[in-house]
Amino acid sequence: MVIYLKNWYEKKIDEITVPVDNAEEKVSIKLTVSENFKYIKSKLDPSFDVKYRTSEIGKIKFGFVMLDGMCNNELLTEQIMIPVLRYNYDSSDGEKVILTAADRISGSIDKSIQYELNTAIREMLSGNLLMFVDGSARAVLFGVQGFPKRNISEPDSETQERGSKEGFSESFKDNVALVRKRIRSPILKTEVLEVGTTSKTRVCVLYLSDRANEKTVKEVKQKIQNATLDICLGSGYIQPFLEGKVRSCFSGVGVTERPDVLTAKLSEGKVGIITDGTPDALFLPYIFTEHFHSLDDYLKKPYYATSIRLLKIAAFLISVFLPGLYVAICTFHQEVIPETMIFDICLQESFVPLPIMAEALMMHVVFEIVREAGLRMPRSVGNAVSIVGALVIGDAAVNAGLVAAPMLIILGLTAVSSFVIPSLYDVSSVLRFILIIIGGLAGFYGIMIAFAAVLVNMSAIEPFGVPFTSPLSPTKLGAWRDLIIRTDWKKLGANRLNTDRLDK
Amino acid sequence: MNSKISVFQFYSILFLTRLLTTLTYIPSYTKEINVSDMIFQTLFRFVFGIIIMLPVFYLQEKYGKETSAQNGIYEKTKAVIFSFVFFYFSVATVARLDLFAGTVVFPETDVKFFLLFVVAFCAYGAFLGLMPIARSAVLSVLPVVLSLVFIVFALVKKIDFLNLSPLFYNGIEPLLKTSLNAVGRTVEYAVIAVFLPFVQGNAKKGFFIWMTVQTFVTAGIFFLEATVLGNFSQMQLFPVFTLASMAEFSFFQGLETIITGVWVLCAFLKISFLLYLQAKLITDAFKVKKTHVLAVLGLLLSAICLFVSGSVERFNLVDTSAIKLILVLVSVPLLSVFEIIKRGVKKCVKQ
Repeated sequence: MVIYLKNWYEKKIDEITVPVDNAEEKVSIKLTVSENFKYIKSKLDPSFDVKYRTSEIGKIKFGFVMLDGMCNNELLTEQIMIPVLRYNYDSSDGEKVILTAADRISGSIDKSIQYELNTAIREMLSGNLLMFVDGSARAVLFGVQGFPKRNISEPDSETQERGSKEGFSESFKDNVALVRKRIRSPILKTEVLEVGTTSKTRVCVLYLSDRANEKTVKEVKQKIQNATLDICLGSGYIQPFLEGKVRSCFSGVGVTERPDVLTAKLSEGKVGIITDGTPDALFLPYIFTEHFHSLDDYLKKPYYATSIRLLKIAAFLISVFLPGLYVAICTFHQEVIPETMIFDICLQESFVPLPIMAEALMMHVVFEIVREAGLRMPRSVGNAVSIVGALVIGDAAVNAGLVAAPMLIILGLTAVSSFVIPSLYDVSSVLRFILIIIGGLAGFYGIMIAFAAVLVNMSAIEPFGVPFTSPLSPTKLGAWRDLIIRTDWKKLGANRLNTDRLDK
Repeated sequence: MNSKISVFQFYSILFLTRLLTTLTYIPSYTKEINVSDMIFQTLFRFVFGIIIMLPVFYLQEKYGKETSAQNGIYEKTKAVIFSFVFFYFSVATVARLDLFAGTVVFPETDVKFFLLFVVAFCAYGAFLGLMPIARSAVLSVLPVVLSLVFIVFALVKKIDFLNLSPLFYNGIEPLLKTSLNAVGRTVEYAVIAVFLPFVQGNAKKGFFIWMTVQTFVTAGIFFLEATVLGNFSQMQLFPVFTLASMAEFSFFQGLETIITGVWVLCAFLKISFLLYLQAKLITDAFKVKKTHVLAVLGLLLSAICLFVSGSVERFNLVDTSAIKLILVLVSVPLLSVFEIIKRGVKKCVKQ
């Protein structure tokens, strides 16, 4: 029955989708500029932003192709066009001319020779200048990119009290450079791959060659290359291909907007991934305890950092369990609440026409709507949403007798707690709803079963051989000094953590 | 069975599964002896446990490195016997949980839905495999122990030594009988017998530590029962739950919710682990798909538990001490002795 339903659904998918084809034909560069232009035009026309130019110097014919708006015109003119076109060539042989132009005349360092036309077109579409010469079966690509980009600014979702204010931007090379400037060592390796049949998005795999697990690096590159995607508009497109087979709301791949955080992760032997056009980077393997870390922990006194970590763990537990537990306790286990408190809660809840589970669900749905609206709507009207949200959820709902005041306190506490660890917001939000329903139907008993199932599910995640629950289970006491508590730099500095050893 | 887990992970699972048996102990099985004698019963059980495990460890010591054909008739029969033992104990665990939920947690609600819910989640746990179960057990040990310690502290002021009754008042025979019954309720011996070759580390040392710890924990729980509840505990369906409901600490009251949590967590791990073992044994012996075996086992378990649910007579059928004792004695010492003889004979023939 299940197999039949699965096949039926797959047929429905096939009816409406077309499989992504990664195969691309290989076309050699032609010997004449006009033939090359013809092929490029057949591929790119009628795009208005593709500019073609041919220049003849004596018997030598040059052909240039560029994408308007993607190149730095000043750089292109001064470093390539003027020197190449003003040079006196002593031979009219296309092969010799193109090599002379590339090696001896142009002032550009960023250049490469290409023999395959489709790859050359792809590079040109990334902002390179493509040059052909009649009689040569090769093309030269000059890196003169100059497309509009956002300045480097402080990340929105990972703000820190101390430390660098730099965050990743959408510029691929700037992002790599931000990491490079923090690790001035030859051991930092940056390998570029391409993802997306249509988008051909550049993806950079970063790692420190002396500590990253070779097998992990190889596997990461393989998984990225095997990712069947038509377009890739962000790191989130690649993330599922890097996660394991276990279906879970937790992820074994970390995300950061901060180059300093990525640098720290690379120093632990992790592998970083920067995707073109995305102001964040992925890193892996990522374990559960890392959710409770921030760069501030390492810039402040250890005792404070440790207490903040414990506070974050408490906040996560509150954000996931508190509403469900409140519903379960009020519905099934009233004896747990001290007598003085139970009377107050009963009194307040008695005015509410809805059962506690429905009340909790309704309030959390309203909260999620307000949060989503605040996130998506223009900032100029954001304040209005906050006021309406506060009034509707708060005062008016209580006065109308739709919600009890204790439920509002629970909602407020849960909402604030869920924002303490932004990386776990999605997880806590989903689990919270599930636990409210289970708490209302099966009480604490059901919540514990659900908790146990989540625990086993979490324990099954093994990003690239490292258990997600490490160093708690499997217990690696040696790693606790950094991953659970935070000891002094005098102790931490001498021995660096090796992620590889968190396995088994 | 290719996966290997560490001694600590293995005995963490066994600690929690055995703790569940103690927490869900029903005094009607031990009517013959008074509650104070139950404390000493744990010592006798310790000795019996060591005795029945001797052949298992001898077999492991002498032939542990030798591998036997997985598809032989003996191996298949062994897999079926152990699977049956584990299945019976899975049914007993779910049935006990059902009895608890139906009488204590939701006395006025039909708990059949919850049973299905539990079995489905446990089958999912088993489907995820050994490592997730082992890791979850390690993660659960500390909270479970802390919860128990908290409850013990909350009960300290209620301890009254006058509640203790004279020791061995009914003689030694009921004590020995109860201890033997307790051995029968310990499916963990069968688990060790089947799983020992797949544990990394010093399993023998781990076994002694585990036996000692669980003997102390069980003795401690019976001591609390005897001193706080006295003979009143014999009238309770679940005395440990009653104990917890009497616990008070500062503004915390009625700590039975905590014990329920511990109970449910341990039950989940126990059922998941037993289902995993059954699926693995059957898969290895008969070369069938693990997911199919788990689906069948889950359905079978659900069907039996739904049949048992709500009827004490049927519950007695699936939770009989005598049957459990026979199953443990057949699967642990007898099968091991048989295998020792079989391998010995084989060796002689070869020579």
